[in-house]
Amino acid sequence: MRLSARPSSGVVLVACLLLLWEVSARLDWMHTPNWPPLTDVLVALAHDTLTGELPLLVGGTLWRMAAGLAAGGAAGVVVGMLFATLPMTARLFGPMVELVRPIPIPAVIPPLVLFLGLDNTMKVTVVALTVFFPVLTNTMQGVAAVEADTLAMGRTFGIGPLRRALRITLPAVLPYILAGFRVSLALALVVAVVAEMIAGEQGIGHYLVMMQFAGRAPEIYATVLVLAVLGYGLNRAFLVMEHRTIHWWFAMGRQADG
Amino acid sequence: MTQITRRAALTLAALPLAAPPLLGQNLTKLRVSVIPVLDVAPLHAAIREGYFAAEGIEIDTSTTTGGATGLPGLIAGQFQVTFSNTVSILLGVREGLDFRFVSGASRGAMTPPDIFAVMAKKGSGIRSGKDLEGKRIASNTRNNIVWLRGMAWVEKTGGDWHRVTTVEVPFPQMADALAGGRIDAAILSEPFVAGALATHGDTLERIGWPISETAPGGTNAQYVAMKDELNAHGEVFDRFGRALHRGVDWVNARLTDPVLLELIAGFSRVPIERLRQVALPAYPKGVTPGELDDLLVSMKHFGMTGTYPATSSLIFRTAAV
Amino acid sequence: MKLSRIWPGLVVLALLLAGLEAAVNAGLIRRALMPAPSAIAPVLWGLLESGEVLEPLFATLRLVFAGFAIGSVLGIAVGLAMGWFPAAFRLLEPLVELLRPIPKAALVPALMLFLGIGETMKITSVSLAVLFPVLVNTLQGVRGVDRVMLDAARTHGWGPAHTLLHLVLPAALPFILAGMRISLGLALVLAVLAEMLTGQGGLGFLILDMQRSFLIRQMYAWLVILAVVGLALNGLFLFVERRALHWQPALRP
Repeated sequence: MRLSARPSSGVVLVACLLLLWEVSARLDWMHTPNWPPLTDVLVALAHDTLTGELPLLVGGTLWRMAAGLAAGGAAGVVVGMLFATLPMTARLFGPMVELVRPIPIPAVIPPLVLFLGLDNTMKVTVVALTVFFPVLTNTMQGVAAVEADTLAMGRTFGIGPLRRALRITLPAVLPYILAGFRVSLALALVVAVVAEMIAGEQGIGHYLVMMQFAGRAPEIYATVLVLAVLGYGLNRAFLVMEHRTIHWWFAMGRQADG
Repeated sequence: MTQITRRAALTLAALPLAAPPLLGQNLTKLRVSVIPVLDVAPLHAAIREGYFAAEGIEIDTSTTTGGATGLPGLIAGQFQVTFSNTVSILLGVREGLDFRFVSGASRGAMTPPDIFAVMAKKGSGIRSGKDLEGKRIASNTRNNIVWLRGMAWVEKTGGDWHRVTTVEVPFPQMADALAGGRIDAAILSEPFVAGALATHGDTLERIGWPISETAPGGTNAQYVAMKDELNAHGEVFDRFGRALHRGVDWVNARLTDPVLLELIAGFSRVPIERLRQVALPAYPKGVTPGELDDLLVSMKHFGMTGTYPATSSLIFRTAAV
Repeated sequence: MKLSRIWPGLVVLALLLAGLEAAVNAGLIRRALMPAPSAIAPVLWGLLESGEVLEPLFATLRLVFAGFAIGSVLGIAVGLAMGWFPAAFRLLEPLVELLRPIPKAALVPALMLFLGIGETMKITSVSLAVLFPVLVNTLQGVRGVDRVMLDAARTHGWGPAHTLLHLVLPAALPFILAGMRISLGLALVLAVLAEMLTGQGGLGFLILDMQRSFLIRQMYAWLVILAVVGLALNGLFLFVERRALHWQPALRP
């Protein structure tokens, strides 16, 4: 590991922009209390982190996001496998799925609130709905892609349909399913935050709106920073996990390349 | 100094009350949905001063920022009590939802300054509802108490409310929108009136008081619970009402005392220097059929027509004071 | 032909609606929260017939298309520059990596602080959501261009600008379009969200406002309209994509 003596032009650019932020706010170029200096934002961030308020809120948001990912992902895989292996189910329920899919997800929050209230149940359901569709699509595509060769083998060995689905199809489709999860991951975070912003009462999304109503600009930008770090961290963590889970897939890919 | 002694005396006075329920049974948990605004100060005071604990109740507050956001949580059984503005509550009642008033929360003042103000740009020449005809007025949403009082003010000051365009703007953005000329007037509620004057005091001014000019002391917001819940556990709500109303007394005894503002700053996160400028609401304990009937007349007049049940049937015994 | 394939699904849908209607009428579902479909239909028809639908519909569509266009153009331009000029890549990569993972929905309250709640702020949030997927896909597309073809272009004496326009851009087009398709969905999501949070006009605002005013039939009617918009946008893009890529295989040697 060699530390580069000269930072790249890109890092310089980012540093300059951050400096511009600080200076423009300190000198009040924008003539508004809504443009706080970066250092004020960092102080607000440090304060609410040290009081334990932010970590608790972020933890809640992540928990709801994870629950929604698990529930929506599981449902997506099950329904996707069903649709792909039993075409009749796809013909019966496919149109329903296609009608619900294009509804932009924030719009389903108001009706869901009426039935599920404002608590975890509603927020987890919204995240689950977001995750369900990409995972469903990817699972179906995956099954279609591995169907021909892998399944024929299972059939010749006389394995029953359920065991075939669990033992052969599911592992073979796993890379596609995980890709679906990765697509949903960023959206799941967004939607968890959005649900909190609209329904309130918990999480980092509610904190954001609270601070907006309390007129505290530094806290608003601090929240955006927290969410950026979260988004980045989640994506990284998922890539690592994906690599671990389906290392054989990457190994095969590398062979094919060579 | 006197402050401390008074609080100590109150705590001491609370002790004998606290003893029996604390020994005899576990605390009853109540989840209460609130908006972090001035109106809910008595609830927070009652929590902090231990009045709920003395009644054997533990309060878990849950905050939302929209005036009617908490009501669906009440229907879903996630809250036992929800704080909301009277118009939203009555609109739910109109649709057959069994909300019942368990306590009053806030009313407008009899004389200015109100908790609501109509604001306009200095030098714009807009002084009345008449001046606003053909122009744009901002309200945080339609079909709530703020909009209703605002429209009543437009009419009272000679304007035809049909000819005034309502633009929905969230409270935190109103002052900017007004100063930037995107709207011609705005109906703000506290603490946003004080906030607007603090940040845009050189360009914006208050031109009207929508409550005291149209319905002095008019109703604003209440605490509601579901009818079934009240029928099943009326006794719990009796205790809730008693504790909350001791909180009302606490607040009413300190309307000019800095400790009240500290309390409000604590739960609303609004900076205390801004709170020093706000106009406080009146904090009533009860709800009267009369004030609800007056409001219904106004609601029907401004387009929220339909059949509403007799207002006296909507008031639970804890609010009939 | 096509009808015979989807009729079982339509039957299921019809059964579902009928079941809902029966459940509401039997009192199994609280009417104040989920009115019978037969009660929503007249409200929906009223919105369509009176033309009341047009203003919010156009407000939302204008937002989606303006944001989508601006975000796409910027994303393609920056993506091409970063993929084609190493200096541009070095300059912008850290910034892009920094901004990309921010959930764009969370930017809306921050943007409201200094752009206010007007069209500018809403279009900016939609463009930002569109920008990054398009940018990243364009970058991938440019990077994936066949080296052999680039060499061939050079030996034929094509200048860099000519090569970029006539070789790199067409070759990257499938990637760009894939990025744009992802972004179109995001654009609608952000448009609806920005409307909900700024509380002004548009389909997203109306759905939330109707719920909060307990005008539940109206809320469902607007939701149906929004679903149709989502369906139509997706269909429109699939159609455009098929047209745009129609000639694509012919380009390959």
